[in-house]
Amino acid sequence: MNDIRRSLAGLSDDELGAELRSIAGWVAAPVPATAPGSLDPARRARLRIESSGGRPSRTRWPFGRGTWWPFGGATRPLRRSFVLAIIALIVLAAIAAAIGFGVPGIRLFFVGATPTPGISASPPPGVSTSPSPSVSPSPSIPGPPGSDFDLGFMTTPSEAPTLTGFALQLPTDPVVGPPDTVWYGEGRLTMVWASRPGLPDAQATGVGLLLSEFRGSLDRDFFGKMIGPGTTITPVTVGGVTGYWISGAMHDLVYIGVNGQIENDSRRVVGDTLIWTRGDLTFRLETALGRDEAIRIAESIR
Amino acid sequence: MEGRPLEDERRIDAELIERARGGEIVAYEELVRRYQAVAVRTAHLFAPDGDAEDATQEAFVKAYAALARFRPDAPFRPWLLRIVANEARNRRRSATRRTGLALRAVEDRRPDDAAPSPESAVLAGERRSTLVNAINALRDEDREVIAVRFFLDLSEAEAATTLGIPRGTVKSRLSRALGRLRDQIASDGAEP
Repeated sequence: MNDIRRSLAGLSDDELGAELRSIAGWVAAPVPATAPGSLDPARRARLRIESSGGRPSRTRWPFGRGTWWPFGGATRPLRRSFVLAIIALIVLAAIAAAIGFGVPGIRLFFVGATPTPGISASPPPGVSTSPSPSVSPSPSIPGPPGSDFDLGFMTTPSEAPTLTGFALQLPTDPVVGPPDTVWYGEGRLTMVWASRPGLPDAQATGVGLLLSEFRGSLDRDFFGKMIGPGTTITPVTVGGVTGYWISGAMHDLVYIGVNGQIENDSRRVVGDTLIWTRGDLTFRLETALGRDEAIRIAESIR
Repeated sequence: MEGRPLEDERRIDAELIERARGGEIVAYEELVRRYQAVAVRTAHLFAPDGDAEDATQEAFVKAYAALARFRPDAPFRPWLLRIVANEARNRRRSATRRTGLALRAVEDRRPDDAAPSPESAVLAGERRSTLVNAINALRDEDREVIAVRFFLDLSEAEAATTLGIPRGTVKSRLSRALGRLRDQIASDGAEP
């Protein structure tokens, strides 16, 4: 070890901190040009916001990453939204009255295409340029539970209500306990529990339970589950309200948000999915525990 | 922005936020431009191999979408930086090749630096490279907490918001990160 190493390695936390502060100005970093009229990030952001009509521009929702999308990853999100909108409308028109599933706010419909299996599978050829999310970091240094799934930014149960505008509801089941991480992104709150005995991890993601809560206004939104062959939907009762247990193959959730934009959410991160609405909130619970256990956890949510 | 009392900064932010919420996108542009330099720097520190300006732009668009839910009594800067950091992290995860932080060339010295003697300049340069190389060898979590506390000079509270972790965790995580940094420096194998 040379003298420099020896002297640096011998510093206390405070001294090392001071040393690091002193080199801050030496760490190279880009500096945006802010000359009047320059296209700096602030200006580019403004132009993008304006071009989307000044409404919040919702980009694709978290798990999207083109997992089931058959037309390749290069499809522009806007075009993708249009195609999704058309698919959704055609399917809705075709089966409008045919299927009697009747949870207000949730409509389920079937599509013929076989969805591409999701996160743990290899991506379709068209998306090979965007390497599969975050599976890459070495297993010895995992991030916090859920950090691989683009759930938004990490928050806390106490901070969550100020972000979402609704009170956080959590399972009171002692086996489940408090979530390991809480994430917020694009109007959704997602609680993540790391896998452990009692909360198995069916997809080797390190996550044992995933619960999302988001506003799904009964009058203004609809939710569509685009279900391919190999997926089973079972209407169930969750605390007196109807919900759906979706098991089997990968599914894709398409819904129209409050601003009228089409959003999609394709994945299976943990296991099968239980989805239900209560009041103006929609809940989505993913678990590998099976239907009855999922319902039991769901009914413990307060 | 520097040199104005904090209260003034908060008041200016509050006014711009209110106007931005009212639909004045120009006010939003002005608001985020106030924090643009630190935002780009944050994006670069979190993902040195990504396009920091692009990540910042994307984060600004996302922050606009979330602005209605921003708590007016909270400081805006760390709230924004958290979104920037998150965006940069997401990009980092999809990058195939990792490049670490780099030092500016000596010629690029800040004008207010006094010209040191050649010998001490070389020594100081080696000291800096040793530190930066060791930081680059750390895992992301350690690098992030060191970067926000020392390279961005954020307070503990701001660091907590930016990293999305409790304040107490900042302290413990920083202490562990510094420990690992020392280990890294001490191990000769750290030389790139």
